Amino acid sequence: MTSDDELMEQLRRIAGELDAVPELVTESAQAAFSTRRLDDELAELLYDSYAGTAADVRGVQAGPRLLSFGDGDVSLELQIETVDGRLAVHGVATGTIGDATVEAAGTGRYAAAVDEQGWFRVDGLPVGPLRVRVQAPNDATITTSWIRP
Amino acid sequence: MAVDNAALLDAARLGDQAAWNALVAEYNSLVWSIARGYRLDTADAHDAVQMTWLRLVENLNKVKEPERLPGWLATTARRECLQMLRKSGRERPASDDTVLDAPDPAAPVDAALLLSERDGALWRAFRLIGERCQRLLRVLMSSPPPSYQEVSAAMDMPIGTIGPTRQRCLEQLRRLISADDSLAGQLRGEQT
Repeated sequence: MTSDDELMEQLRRIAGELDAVPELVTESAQAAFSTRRLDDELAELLYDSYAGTAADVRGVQAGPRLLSFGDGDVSLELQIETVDGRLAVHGVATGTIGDATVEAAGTGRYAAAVDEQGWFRVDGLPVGPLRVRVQAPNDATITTSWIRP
Repeated sequence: MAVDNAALLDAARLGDQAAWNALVAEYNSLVWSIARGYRLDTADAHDAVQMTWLRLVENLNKVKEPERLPGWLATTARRECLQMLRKSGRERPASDDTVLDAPDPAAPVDAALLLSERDGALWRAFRLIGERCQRLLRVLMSSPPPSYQEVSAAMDMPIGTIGPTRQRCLEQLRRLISADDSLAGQLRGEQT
């Protein structure tokens, strides 16, 4: 009879033939490196309406996803929802100056004007990981972690 | 260790794309196998893998101990997969007795036809064992073979339980195989 190690080796070989990492997946893993931003400060995730333990979530989550980020005096509230297969990001920034930038992984950056109350909005984003960047008054750039809507 | 994580991480921190690609080449099979162990389809598995590497980019300066990098990647990938399953409402309690009724996303029929009959039967049997066993064995199938520390991070189970669990899961697999006489014969090395 085949030993456990031999059987495992057979399975590894079959997985390599039948379920190898697709080229596209390797490419996007390599491309992830281009999202590196040396000088940004990573804002802390304070709240995520999609977070939760396995036990307390049943069924498909509906409605917009709400997230809250903070870094010092800067805070960022985000609402992300899918509208007709595209993403809409609605946010309010406090303690920031200038525009907000929404970055979609692999597809580009979208500037969003922040109004006097701190609101900003970007519509029609491709579905995929995104993050939001804002400027603090001391010129520090604050970035959220990647969000997968 | 097949690659020098410390040197590659240092080079990547200095912006060396080739060093980054070397890390991807070494560990992407592990990350992919975790997503596939959760039976994510190709698109969802792609997303989970991409998120795992994006998280490494944003935490590149925080991974202090190079030898823990694969464990960090495995833990991150597991969390991304769980979040994805939660989001789509597909998560259910993992149990060795659970047999998934979801369609198998991993083995397109035309690809299976390319395999030998024996390999195909072995893969089908693998897809019939318990959910947790599939996850464990799929991670163990990653290439290069993962350390038990990496498997522990991928499965969120103590290192000491991996060996016995692996043995039990392979036993499950053998029982299914032995139900298939011709396959059992081939595994014993008989000519057909």
